[in-house]
Amino acid sequence: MKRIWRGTVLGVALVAVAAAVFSTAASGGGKAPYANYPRSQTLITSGTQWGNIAGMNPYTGNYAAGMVGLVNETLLRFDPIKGKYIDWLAKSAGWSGKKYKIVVRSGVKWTNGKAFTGKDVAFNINLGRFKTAFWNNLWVNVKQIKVNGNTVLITFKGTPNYIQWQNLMWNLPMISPVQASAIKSAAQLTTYSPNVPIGTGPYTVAAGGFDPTTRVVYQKNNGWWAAKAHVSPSPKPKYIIDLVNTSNTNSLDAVLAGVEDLNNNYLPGVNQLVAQHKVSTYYPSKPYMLSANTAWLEPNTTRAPLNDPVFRRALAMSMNTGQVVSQDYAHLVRPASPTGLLPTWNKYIDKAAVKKYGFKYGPSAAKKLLQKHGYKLSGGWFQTKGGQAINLDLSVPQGWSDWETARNMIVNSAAQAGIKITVKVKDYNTWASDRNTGNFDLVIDNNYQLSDNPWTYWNGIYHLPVIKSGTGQTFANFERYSNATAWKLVQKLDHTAPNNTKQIRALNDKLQTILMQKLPLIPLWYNGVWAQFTSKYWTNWPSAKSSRRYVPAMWRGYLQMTGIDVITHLKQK
Amino acid sequence: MTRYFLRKMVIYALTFVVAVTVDWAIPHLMPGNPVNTLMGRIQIQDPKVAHQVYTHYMRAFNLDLPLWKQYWYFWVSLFHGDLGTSILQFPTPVMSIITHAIPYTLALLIPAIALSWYAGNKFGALAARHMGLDNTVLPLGYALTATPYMWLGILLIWVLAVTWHVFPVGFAYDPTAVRGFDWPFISNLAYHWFLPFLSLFLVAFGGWAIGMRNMIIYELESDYAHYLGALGAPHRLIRKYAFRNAVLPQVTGLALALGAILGGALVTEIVFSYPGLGYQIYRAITNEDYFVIQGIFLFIIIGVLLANFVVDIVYLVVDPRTRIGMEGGRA
Amino acid sequence: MSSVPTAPLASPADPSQVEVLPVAQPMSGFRESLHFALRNKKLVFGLSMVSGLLLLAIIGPFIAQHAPLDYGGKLSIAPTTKGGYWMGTTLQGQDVFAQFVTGLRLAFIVGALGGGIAALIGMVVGFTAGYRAGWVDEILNMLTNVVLVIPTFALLLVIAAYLQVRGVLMEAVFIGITSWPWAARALRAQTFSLVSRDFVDMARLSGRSSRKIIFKEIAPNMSSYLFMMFILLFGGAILIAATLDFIGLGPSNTISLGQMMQLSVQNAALQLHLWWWFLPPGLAITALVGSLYVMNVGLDEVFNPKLRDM
Repeated sequence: MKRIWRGTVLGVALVAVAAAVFSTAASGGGKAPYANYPRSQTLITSGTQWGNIAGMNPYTGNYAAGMVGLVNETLLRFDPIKGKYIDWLAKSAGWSGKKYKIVVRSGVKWTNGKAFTGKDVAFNINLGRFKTAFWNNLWVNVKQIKVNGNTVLITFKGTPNYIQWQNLMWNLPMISPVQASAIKSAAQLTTYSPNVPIGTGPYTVAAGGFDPTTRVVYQKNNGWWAAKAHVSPSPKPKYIIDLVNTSNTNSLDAVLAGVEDLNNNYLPGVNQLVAQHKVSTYYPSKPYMLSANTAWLEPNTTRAPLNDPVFRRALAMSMNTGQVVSQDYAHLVRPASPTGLLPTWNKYIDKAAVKKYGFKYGPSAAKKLLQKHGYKLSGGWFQTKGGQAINLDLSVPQGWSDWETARNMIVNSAAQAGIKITVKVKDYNTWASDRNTGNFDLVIDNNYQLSDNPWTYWNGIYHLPVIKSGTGQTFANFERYSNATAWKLVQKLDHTAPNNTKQIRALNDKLQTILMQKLPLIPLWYNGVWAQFTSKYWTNWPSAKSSRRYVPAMWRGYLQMTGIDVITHLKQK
Repeated sequence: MTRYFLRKMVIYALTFVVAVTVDWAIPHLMPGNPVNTLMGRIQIQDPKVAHQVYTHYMRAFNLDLPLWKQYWYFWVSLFHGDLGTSILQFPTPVMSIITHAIPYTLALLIPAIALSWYAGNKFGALAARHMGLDNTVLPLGYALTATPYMWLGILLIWVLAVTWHVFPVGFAYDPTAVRGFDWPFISNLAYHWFLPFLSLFLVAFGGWAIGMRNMIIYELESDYAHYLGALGAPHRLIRKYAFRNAVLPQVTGLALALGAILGGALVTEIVFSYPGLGYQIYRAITNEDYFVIQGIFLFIIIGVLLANFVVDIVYLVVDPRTRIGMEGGRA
Repeated sequence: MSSVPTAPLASPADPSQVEVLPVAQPMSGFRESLHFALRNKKLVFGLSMVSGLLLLAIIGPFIAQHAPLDYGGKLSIAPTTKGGYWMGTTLQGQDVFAQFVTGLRLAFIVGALGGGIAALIGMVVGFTAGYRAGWVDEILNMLTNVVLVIPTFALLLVIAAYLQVRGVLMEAVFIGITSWPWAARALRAQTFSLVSRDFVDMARLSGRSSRKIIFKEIAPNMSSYLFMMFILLFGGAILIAATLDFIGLGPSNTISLGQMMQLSVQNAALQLHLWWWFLPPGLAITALVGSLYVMNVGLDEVFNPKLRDM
């Protein structure tokens, strides 16, 4: 008896002592009495990597967050807020007639000590010969790449894809030929993954800290060319640690507890925390975030009644996007323009056309429109013109809770207009697979990120042909909208030289008019560049009210916008 | 003895075959195609090229073969220790994901099971003897054993991590920690391990304590106890016998509870973002990562079978009656 | 792996753990049982808790002022008497009370259905295995073992993936067909011990069919035992359902207690201290399942005279 008592008392005491020891040993932040990455010199980010880190392959879209931008840099960068390209590894890069000329900066060094030259640029572009390379479609149009020291001159077989090529120039990471010469086949291009990639950037991978389940650690590269050449301030953080994203709870708490400095997750309720001055965002009040992409309702335009533009218009008019913005997102997002063009593309919006063709929320007007065009109500719900009951299915990836809420609101608001929608639950891959192969009525989706040119947006909407078998649609036109005219306009836009501003304007006007008239997609709201940061260790974060108007995201593709400037301008607290 | 073991082995082998078959069948019956995920990431614009690459991957993952062949190859590669490649984390081998996750899961499970079983039995036995303790421990035990694992986890996080900041919310170690086999890092691991362990431990503890308490009361009210009492045997002796007899069903219960605690560990890992098998399988499930789901399930099956086997042996050692009973067929 | 607590963990007088349970009293002692039942504190407590929650589950949805999935309330307000938001609202302005009582109702449905199905399968398998012995027993025993070990979670995934509109019924059926093994094992052992008794021998001698012997002779002798088993399966099913829902595999178009927990955690309820959102669902499950267990022990004491003096 006594023994048991003693045992349990001892057990409880042990646990208590252990807890006390661990908590004092490990929770003391910077004061921890053991070797760690010193917190005050470390920038901790998260919000990009969901699930284990797959490695360092720059081409399959799942490389360790931060690798492209911190380690492997691009020739150019793009500032979406100013709408300007930034010369980066290239001293200059641009069109001279139908040729593309790149002049590589001198003084840029790989971390293995070798100089970065024009040859390296040609090597990287030529990796496009492998069919799994995302720029393979552009590479096949390349006639010749002439290298002369630091100058690279590219000639094309036909009219260049001006826009796509320019886009490639700030998205193609320069990787070291020393390592990448191991790539000998299309399959190897997708499996290539060096442990410590050789790069030119401000950081290198600290292999010892890498843990695929938890984090990737970057260490400052003191010989970074941009700091030496005074192109950019030298970044202050000695280490950058990007944490694997696990759950909203974890993320939000990590931000509040000062474990993370920058988090790029959608965190519900962050508006309340901004109000309590616990975290900061790019805008101090609504809309809080910059806009990253357009969330839209994607109808399957090959199915009745969604193949009828009138029906799609009525559906659009029934969407109570205001409710989604105010109740689901508490104004963390903005309602979309009827063109769906992101705020950074504002200058491309044809205001007169929007006034003329844009749709507005109005369930009763939607009802009238349908009735006018021969749709009949039966028991409060509309039927097809053939007299069949309409019941559309709608799905979002399971577990995307903000979209699930939006989905429920959409179902309710469509019901107000007599349009019956039923929710279908699909996990992400089923959802994506069904979307690609056309096995759906409606989905909420957002496919095209902020970029340097609305062409990426139009290409995503109008791309032809629609592939009906096998893979289905893999990257564009999930609504399966066949409009040969529009597709020709998109191609023409790609082939229009950047100095032909008049034609560019006209083409963009036409494309958005078609969108608003035919509504192959129904733009709903702009998802934000989710970014919340704290100033416990680092200050000088970007903000709309300062000169530091940078995009605060570690997301793939965002560091080479102005994400890197966010890091180089941070100050130690 | 040998016959008993042979029979057991046959049952385990059959269970293994059936389990592996189900394990293989499940992802293959799922709608959707993992290669499409991969294709979506590579973003090839030319449809002809896209088709070529698609076929390449279908072949690489054996997904273009007839089902029976896929099934056969699954067994073949299984015996080569090859569990395939993750699609979500392409090109990471599934085996490497599992070997990274297993230590965390075992570190939670083994102490939670062993300690809760030990402490639960001790406490239960104690409670059976002391009315006062019985009235406090018993209700608490019922409440604990009826608590959903994740909710206890949520409560612990809310109170100890979010509100009081005594413990971290998740992860296996501090993001700034430098890994190494030294006290600082191990203490850091333990600090992050403690809450998930505690929530697993508490729920299981409640169950064992109640089980033991009730079992002892059964024993104390049984004929032999009364008989011994009538013969004037000391209470201590009777209690000793009662405890010994009551422990036996608790050992059987251990085998039965393994699956349940493992399930609890899965949810607990999810709640605490603790990177063990449960957390990894959750990620794989939500991303339909065929081969990872398969691989992890396989490991879980093997683990549960092994654990059952160990419990069998323990039972055999503790209770000689089993030997006779099992050898003679029917009791 | 059973992803979830299948057999209520070593729960009170878990039948599976009692190798040779004193055979229950024939129902002739019904009055006597009732007499003791009314005086058993555990039983009275458990029963009144369960009935209270059941009452709330039945009436609650009728008195709730809002539909559980409707938006429109002020965002994340604490419990208030205003506007009928007695238990506050969620981050998106939904009525927590309405969700809570709807979830409670679902819990009872899932428990009764899932527990019922499991009990049924467990009975069929357990009785048959125990009575028929030989190779039938071997096969059924193997089946039991296999189901006990197999990751039942994977099965649900397939079902979930195929059934894109998921319902409570499907969930209950799934839980039922995966959580019976321990019950079957326990019943098998019980049947073993009964089969050799005189009254079974008598029945056998009189030439009655096996099925009749099982259901007319053996089952009634275990009625109290069966009832207790059902209670445990009932509680277990509720816990399993809560876990599945929490992982995100719950029914669509409605809201369960598990989903409330999932949504509250996903929507930062912990960090924003919206306790009225995440505390009630877990508390309700704990109270319900805990009371069921307490009730079970109470019943055990009532049916088993040796324990009555406790």
